[in-house]
Amino acid sequence: MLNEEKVILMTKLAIYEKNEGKKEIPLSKYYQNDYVGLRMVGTFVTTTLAYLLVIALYVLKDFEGFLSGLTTMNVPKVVAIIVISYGASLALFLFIASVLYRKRFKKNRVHLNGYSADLKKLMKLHKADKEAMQKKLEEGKDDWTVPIMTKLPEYAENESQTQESQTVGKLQSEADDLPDDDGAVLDSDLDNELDKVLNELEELNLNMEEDEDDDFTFSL
Amino acid sequence: MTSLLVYKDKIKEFYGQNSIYIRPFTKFLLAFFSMMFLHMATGYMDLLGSPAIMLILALLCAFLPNNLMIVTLIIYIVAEMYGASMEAAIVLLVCLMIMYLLYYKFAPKDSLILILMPVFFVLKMPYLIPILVGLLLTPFSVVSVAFGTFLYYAINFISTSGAAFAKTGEDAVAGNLSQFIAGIIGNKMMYASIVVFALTIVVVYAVKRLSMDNASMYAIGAGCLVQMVGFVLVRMTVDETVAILVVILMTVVSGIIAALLDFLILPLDYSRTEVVQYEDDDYYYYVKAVPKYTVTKPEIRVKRINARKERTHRHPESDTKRRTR
Repeated sequence: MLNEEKVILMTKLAIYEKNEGKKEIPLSKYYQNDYVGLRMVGTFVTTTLAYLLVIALYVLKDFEGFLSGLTTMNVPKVVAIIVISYGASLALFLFIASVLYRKRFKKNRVHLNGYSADLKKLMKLHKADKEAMQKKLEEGKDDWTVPIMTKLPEYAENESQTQESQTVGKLQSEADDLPDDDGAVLDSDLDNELDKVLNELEELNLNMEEDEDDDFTFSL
Repeated sequence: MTSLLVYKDKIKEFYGQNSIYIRPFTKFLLAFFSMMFLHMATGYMDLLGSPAIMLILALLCAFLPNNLMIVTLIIYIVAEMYGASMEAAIVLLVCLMIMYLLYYKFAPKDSLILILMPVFFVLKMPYLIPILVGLLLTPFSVVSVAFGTFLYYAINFISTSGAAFAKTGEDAVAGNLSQFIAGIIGNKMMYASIVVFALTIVVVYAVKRLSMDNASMYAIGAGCLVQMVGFVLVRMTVDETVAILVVILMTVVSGIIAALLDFLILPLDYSRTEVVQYEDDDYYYYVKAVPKYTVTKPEIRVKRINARKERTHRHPESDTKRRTR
């Protein structure tokens, strides 16, 4: 029978798995520091990339001026500016990332804890169901949700109950009605058959001799 | 008043039951009209402006996940720009990459704002978006509104001064690039608009969080006021060609629309029909979960004023009862 409570719980779990769970469940295997650390490495890469693109835009803004000023520019100063601004922006974005991903991780954990609590509830219900079914089997009640088990001979109260034993009994009685015959073909029958074939062949042979032109010979 | 609440619940119920159809349809409309208005803003690639192409792309967007829909629309914009000038498309692409790397990687849900800002600029109603953002999101989404404004002014710059970039050839590329970048970055009106929008978002967000009745309405009013005053100031200081009457009018219109949306369609706890499949040892389950909505009926509170006195002959209705709502 359908356990309605179980169905509702399973539906709730399936909805979660389909929506937010797709992103959050794969993250369940991370500890907070690992997760945040991983994301910060990603942020490092993206910030560096973005910084390079900004520099590219800045250079392109005044490309001709840049080319002409290339020879006369104060290299240490420019390098210092680049390094300092890169460091500052990196620090800023890594800080933002750490805060953001920490918060996100905590929120994920709350959802995941709810999910795993529901899973435990489901497990309990499932166990209770299985125990109830086992009890029913031991008491010998014919429960239609376990069709196969009741048909097995060991579990039937008496042989007349099981369908299988009924069929076997029928076949046995039918077999008893048949004549005592081990099914072999009698020798006399064989001899008769053989004679018939030989006679037919002789007739054929007689017919064959009339056509002498043929190379075809027939011998037994 | 109650009938409006009942109506609101009926909308929620309708959405809850039919969300499987409503969501793709809404995405289709959004994609189609966004492309239509974006094409109006640029107008260079006739191919992209043909209704057939837009229809096909919009249908595609209706069934793609949200992020891919946004990506499709962004590609559409860049393609439009390419029709105007290859350099413009490149610069725009680089800018979009920077925006993605620095912001949208952290907050992908704001990417819709990036598309909506240019669209509403074309409709002369960009004032609506900051108000809605302040009502629904956090002040961090200022970044997205700023990027959207930037995107619009970039597109606008190309369409208004596109002739200047018509020169093709290797020599012209660098020159075009620098001109384009300089043209966008030097646009003071853009910065002024961003400032006004940012202020609007902060004000709307702050007012909405105040614990008073109808805070949303006051927030919308405050947002409209900030934008009107802001753009008047902008007109005086930055750009005197701002058509201030149009601005004020469209701000009021935006406020009205925001109020309507807030009242009828924006309640936050939207559930939708879920269709799930799973199995256990005995069965396969195909489940459709439809959210429940109880239509709010007028409350009747029965309040007994006098203590009930034990009397034998007494008509029940002589008990003092007061009906309150």
